[in-house]
Formats: sequence, structure tokens, C-alpha cells
Amino acid sequence: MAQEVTIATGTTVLEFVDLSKSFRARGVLGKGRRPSIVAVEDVSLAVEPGTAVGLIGESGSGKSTLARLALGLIKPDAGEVRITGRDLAGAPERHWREARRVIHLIFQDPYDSLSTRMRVHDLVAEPLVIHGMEGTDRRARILAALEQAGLRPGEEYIDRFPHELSGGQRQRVALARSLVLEPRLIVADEPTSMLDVSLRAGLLRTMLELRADHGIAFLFITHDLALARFFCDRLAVMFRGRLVEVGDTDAVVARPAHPYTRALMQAVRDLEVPEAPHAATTPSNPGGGCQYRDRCRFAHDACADEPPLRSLAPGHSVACHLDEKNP
Amino acid sequence: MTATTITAPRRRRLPQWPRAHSAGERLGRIGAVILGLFVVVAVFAPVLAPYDPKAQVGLPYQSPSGSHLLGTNDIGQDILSELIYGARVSLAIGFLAALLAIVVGTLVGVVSGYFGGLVDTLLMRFVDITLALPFLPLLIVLAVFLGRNIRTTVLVISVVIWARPARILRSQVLSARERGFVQAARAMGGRPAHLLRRHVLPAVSPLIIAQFVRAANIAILLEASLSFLGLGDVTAKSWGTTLYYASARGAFLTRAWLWWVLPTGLAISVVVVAFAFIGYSLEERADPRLRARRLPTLAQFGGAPTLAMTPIPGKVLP
Amino acid sequence: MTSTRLLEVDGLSTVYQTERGTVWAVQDVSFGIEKGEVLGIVGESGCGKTTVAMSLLRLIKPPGKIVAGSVRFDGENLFARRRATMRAVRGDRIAMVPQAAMHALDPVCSAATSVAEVILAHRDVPRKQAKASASSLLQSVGIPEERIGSYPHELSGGMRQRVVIAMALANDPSLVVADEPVTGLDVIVQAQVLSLLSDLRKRLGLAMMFISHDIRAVSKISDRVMVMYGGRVVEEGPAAEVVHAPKHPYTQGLLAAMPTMDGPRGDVHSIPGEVVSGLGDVAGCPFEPRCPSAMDVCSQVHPSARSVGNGHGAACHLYEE
Repeated sequence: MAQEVTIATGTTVLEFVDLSKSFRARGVLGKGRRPSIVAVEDVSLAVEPGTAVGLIGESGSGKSTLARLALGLIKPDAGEVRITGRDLAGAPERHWREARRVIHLIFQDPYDSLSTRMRVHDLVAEPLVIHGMEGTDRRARILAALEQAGLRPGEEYIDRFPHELSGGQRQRVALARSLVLEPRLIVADEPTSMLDVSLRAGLLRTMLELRADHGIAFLFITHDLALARFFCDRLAVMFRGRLVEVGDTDAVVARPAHPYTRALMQAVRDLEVPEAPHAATTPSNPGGGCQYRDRCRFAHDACADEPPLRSLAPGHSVACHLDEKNP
Repeated sequence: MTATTITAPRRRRLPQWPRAHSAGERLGRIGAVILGLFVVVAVFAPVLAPYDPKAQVGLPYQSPSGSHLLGTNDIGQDILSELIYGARVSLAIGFLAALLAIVVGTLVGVVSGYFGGLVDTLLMRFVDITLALPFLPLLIVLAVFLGRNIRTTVLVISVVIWARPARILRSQVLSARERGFVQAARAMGGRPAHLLRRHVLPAVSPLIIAQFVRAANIAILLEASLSFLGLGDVTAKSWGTTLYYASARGAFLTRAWLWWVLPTGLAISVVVVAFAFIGYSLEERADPRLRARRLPTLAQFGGAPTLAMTPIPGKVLP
Repeated sequence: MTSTRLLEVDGLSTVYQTERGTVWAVQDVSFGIEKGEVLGIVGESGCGKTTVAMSLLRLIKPPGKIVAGSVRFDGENLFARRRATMRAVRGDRIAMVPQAAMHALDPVCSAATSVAEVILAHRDVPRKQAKASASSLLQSVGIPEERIGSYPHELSGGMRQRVVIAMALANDPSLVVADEPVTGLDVIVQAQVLSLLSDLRKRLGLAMMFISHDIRAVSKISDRVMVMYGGRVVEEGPAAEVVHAPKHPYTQGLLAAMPTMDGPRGDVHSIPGEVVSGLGDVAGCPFEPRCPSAMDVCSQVHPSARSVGNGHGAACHLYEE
């Protein structure tokens, strides 16, 4: 059905339902008997309009895979990806291209995600060109997007090349590029981790303004819990492809329920960790049961079964057997 | 105490050539000048050549003299005129064959690299087969089979040289495809045609040009080889055919090689070296690692980030 | 004047020649490290901290050039040595852990081999002995015995960094220069590596120069912290003081720009403007364009370091006597 992606306010903008994706390591001739790497397993997460959900995870957690699944750049093995209510998981590429008007992706590396051969004007105009929306007011739209992204006055930047701009400015150009089609949601994959510390907050404040003024929702992917605390309304913590804890930011920070979340918080707060048994290093842990078992101080017999995500309090869920014994 | 640099107002200088930044660039300029000269000679051949190379204008086998600076060949045609007109034929065949080879090679390489899958596998097997065949016997067989005229010479040479650029371009396209700005365009909803046209092709275009220069180089040598073996168009006046007749008439056994063989041979060598110089400087520009030999630009120096990145598998820190 | 300090850097200045002119990467930088002391050098991109490390190890190549200053290590003037003889110092008495070292491990050398090679480069011992020493060294940095023969691609980021640290310690150096040793690692692994470094330092009495953009990581194990901006030192002092009672507006801004897990969520502020690139020799304070407390004098005269506490100095006109 080639229908327009309907944008109803109030509909959940992005929703993952029991999403799973594995990558098979390729052997000779493209097939092989290598074990597959489970990148994402049974993840369900929703982003409501105008809110920011922080996806926290370290390397191997699956957060970048989830970003690509959200944009349809890779196809899931199972589950649903709903954009404004419509499941596009198995949809043909042309439906995804439609959806990419409504949902955008900002990359981590501002030095790589902007083509160095194009001026800022053309970079920001590209989504308009791709979707056949070139009109007489193109320059005005580009200037507006640049100013919304914090590059003021827009005229000063519009004819520059990326190599004339700093990392922070380039990231704002990438942001302007996402804004030009008036998206409902922006997936930001570690947007500040390659920027200087003194500039990170500035970019995030601009993004906060966009949320407030334009109702744009964000899926904010990061490994920096403190940054996520500053920017996001809800936090979702991932470990080895699974969601281990989800909840309102204040709730999760005040009362982290999952041992991994607690370890992360302690590491971020004090740069200290509790002594843990030696961790298995490969993410393709075929052991089954709770993935965090081999690093967890509280591991016990029940952990041989993978814990489901269960509700601790309204809006706060955790996947852990721990509090079952002592609530 | 650190001294502040004071710059006196400069006198207006005459426009100058921008300074070459590296040895590679200097070589490239030398090569370009030499090649340019040959092209000029080729284009203005009718004006520069003292005689019509096909006309019999003197006694055969004459050694160099005032009226024939390079003597005459076995039929009494002026060798210098042959040399000058030969530039036309050899360069034209070389360029055309290279152009054809690069067009086909680029098409195959880009389609293979960008789309992957079965298409990639099939095309690359084809490329491998072509690369595995020894080129000179292949050249000979094709030439004999298809006949000896300029059109087939061009075709035969391109058939032999298209495969290597295809392979090289494919690997460049494979890496270009993963670059952030291509992924970004795809994430914006771009179709393959858009991505190829706007991002992938421009990214590999320096390499295409460098490969073209290389191909032209090889093509000229191959043409000379083919003609020398008598498999080219023996009625066309190329450098190779000049050498063919020289060899067939025993010029190598007498002093005649000095004016019949040497100048033509030198011309071929010099053109090949000129192409090599140009190719060297182009490749230095296309390959960012080699660029380290040049002075860094401010953007490269001041903009390089030194900050935190979660190690995403496959990403390389700057 | 003889100094008891292990490392004494005085008036170091290093420049780079670029197409657009001379960049003063490091300008008039002076500091010292005592035996067994850890000095943290903090700054953002382009501040010169890596160039300082490369300069003192004489690893600067054209178009870079050290134009002023002296470096005394263990009483000896390192700049007076013949350049080729520096190789005997590097990896032996001064060990360097360069940026992104964990990505630069030789992929065809196992962990044990990599460490053994460092030993063999400086000590005339039989190969077997070097391998044995490598093995025990790797275990002492937390790599289990069964992983000692692993290759870099088989090891996680944290383990690779431990291998790199073992390589640095192989020949019992008196000073370790570590450039961004925990950057790029997962935060839990960062904490583990920092704890390892702290532990090693206590056990071996190492002096360290810990370079990073992350002021909290730096202050975790440093005794003293030095903050750099635009090629110059802007503040230096005991770690706790610099982090909890910063005096220079840049340091204050840097700390205010870091989000925390406690305290009000919105209390994070950027420093306006862009990080300076160091082109040309700027008269006056390099931070002036972005400084909330800038005065007229700041753009004209470069502030020299003034004492603002016990062993704590800041280069700022605000603290004029």
C-alpha cells in the first residue's frame, strides 16, 4: 500500500515491538558455520511525541543497531518497527523512504557524515532534493533550519564548506539538515562524543529548544549516562542486545534497579567499580539465561533463566531476578 | 618573551604559478608539460612535418641530411614526418582505448561494489578471468582473429586493460559506500541513483582519473607492441609501425637504427614517462596517506579531534 | 641550580608550519614532575597537551619544530643529546603510551610477543627470559594467564589497553607519559583501568604524566593538575583544589560544562564560542574571546602565572596582586 505516512499527533512516534536482529559472521563463500552475533534481542521501546528517550549502552550493547533498525537501514529478524503507528518491519524500501521524511538520523562523526565537496547550502538542501521538494523558498527554508540549529546568522554559514567549520558547527549543520523536512523524531547516535567538552552542552541545549518549540521527539543514543540525564525524559539501559532497565530519568537515577545500571552509575559518578568476576569478552555469549550473569555480584540460580522485563513502579521496568526475592 | 610577527604591507606582485607542495606535484607538472608538447605536435602535425609521411620524397635508406633530418625509410618516406604524424596515431589510439577501458571498468567496478551480491560475484569472476589470462598472447590472438585495423586495435587493447581498473574501483566503491555521508544520504531516503551520482562517484572520481592516466600509458605501449609485431594496422603511420618496418628491414643490424629506431623509441619512452609522472602526482592526491608528504592545511591540523569515542566495531579513531 | 625534580620543563615552545602560517602549538610552557608524582594535563582539542608530550620525547618532526625551552630529566638535558640516542631513553626510562595505542597494536603479534619485543629492544637478555618477564608483567596488569598468547583482535578494548600499559612498564621506567589512556573505553572499563594505573603507581613508585580531555578522569589519579588552553598553561595546582576550587575562568567553564549524576539536571553550561586553533602568535590571553570575565587588558597583554593558593597558580589578570 503506497499511502502517505500519516502523521497523527498523539500517536507514538517510534515504537519497537519485540525487535530482534542477529548478524551471522560470514564464512567462505558467504555462508558458514560461524556463530551468529545477537545484536538486538526482544527489545520493546516507545518514544512519545515531543519526548526524549535516552538509549544507554556500551560497545556491543546493540544501541547503534537499534538506530539503524529505526531508520530501516537494516531489516530485523523478528518484531515490529512502528513509525507513527505503522509497522514497517517487512516493508519494501520505498515505504521506508517515505518514512525517512518523518524520522531522521544524526551521526556521531561530524567529519564523516558531511560530504566535504558540498557547501552548507547543498548539504542542508539534500533532503529537499531527495524528496522532490525543491521550491522557490528553498533558500529561506535552509536559512531557517540553520538558525534553528544555532548557526546564526544563517547567511554567514550557508556558503561555507565543511572544512571551514569546527566539529561543533558541523554537527549543527547535520542538525539543520535533519530539520529542513520538519521531522517528528530525530535519532541522535552519540552526537556529542566527538566534540570538545565545553561545546557539548551547547548542542544539547539547542536540541532541547527544538523539543520545546517544535515538538520534535528524540531517541538519544549514548554511553554517557550523565549526558543522558541532562537531556532525556526517560532512560533505557541496554546490555548485550537486551533492554535491562527502562524508566523515567529521575526514577532510574534515584533508584537504579538493575546491577548493570548501578555499576554504570557508580562508574560515571565516581569513576569506580565494584570488583567483579572476570567478564567474558565476546558479545556472542551462547550461555543463555541472563546475559549479565557472569559479571553480576548478585548472580544466583534463578539467573539461569533469562529475566523478563517486569514493572517495578509505574513507568519503571527492570529485567532482573533480584527484587523478586526481596522486594 | 614571544615576538609578535609584524608583516609589512606587501607590494602587489605579478600573478604567479602557485608553488608546488611536494615532489609529486613537481613531477606531475613536468609530465603534463611534456605530454602537452606531444599533444601539440600531434595536433599540428600537418604544419610541423616537413613532408607528407606517405609520400615518397627521396631515395630509400638515406641517412640524415639537411633535407631529411632523420633520413628516409625503405620506401623513401621521410622518417621525421613519420615520427610527427605517428604521434597522432599512437596518442589517439592510446587515449581512445583507455577511454573505452575506463568507461567499462568504471561501470563494472561501481555496479559490483555498490550492489554486491550475485551481480558482484559474477562480475568479479569475469574480471578475474580476464586478469588471469596473459595479456600479450591474448592481445595477439584477438588481433589476429578480429583483423588488423585501427578500430580493432582500439577494441583489442581495451579488452585487455579494462579489468584492473574495475577491480580497483570496486574496492574504492566498497569503502566509499560505508562513508558517513553516503550512509547519511541513505538515511535521508536517497535512492541508489542519487547516492551513486551525488556521493559515490564524486568520491571515487580522483581514482578514476588516475586510473585513466595509467590506462592511457599502458595503451600506448600496447599499441606500439601490437604494431611492432605487425598486428596493428600496417597502413597507419604509428610509432609502432615505424618500428615494425625498421625491424623488418634490418635496421637493427646496421647503423640505420640510430635514426630509424632510436628517435621513435625515445618518443614512446618519453611519453610513457610523462604519463607516469602525471599518474604519480594524481595518485598522491587521491590517496590521503601519501598526502602526508605535503604541508598540512590548517583544517587538517587544527580540526583534528582528540576526544572520547565509544569503540564501535570497525571504527578507526582519527 | 640543581633540581631534585624528576622532570623539569622550562619555557617550552613548539610550532608547526602550515599553508596559512605558523601555528604555536605550545607556547612558553613550564612545569615539573617529582619522583613518584602524577601530573595530569587537561585540555580540549588543539590545546597543545599532546604536543608537549611529543616535544619532551623529541618526537616532533617537520613541519613541527621545537623553537624554545629546555627539558631536564633526572638532571640531564634531553635536548642536548644527539637525537638518535633518544631511542635509548624512550621505552626504557621514559615510557610513552600514545593516543589510541590500543588500536595500534601489531595485529600479528600476541600480547606476550608485543611486550617481549619491548624488553628485547632495550635489554640484552635471552628471548625466553624476555617472554617469561612479559608473561608475569601481563598477569600483573590483570590479563589472565590463558589470554597471554591472544592476538589483539581477540582481546577487548580494556584488555588491549592493559597490554599497552604492560608494554610501557616493561623496562621499569621512572616516568610514564600516557596520552588519553582511557579515552574510547567503555566507562566501566575506564574505571577499571584507572584503578589499575593507580595501583601500579603505588606499587612501583612510578611518576606519571596523564594527559586527557576528561578532567574528572585526570583528577582521579593525579596529585597535581595542569590545565592548558591555546598552547599555554592557564592553571596548575593540587588536583583536589583545581577541580573543587578552580580559579581560572576556563577551568571553571570546563567544569561547569560537565553533566553530573547529582545536583540539578539542567546545571550544565557550554562555554560560548569555538575552541581556539592556535594560528599565529596571539597577543593577550588566548581565552579572552570566550571569557565571561574578560577585561580590556586581557586582549593586549598575556597574563603570567600568579599564585592563587598553596602551590596553585593561574595565568589570569583577575588575580593581579
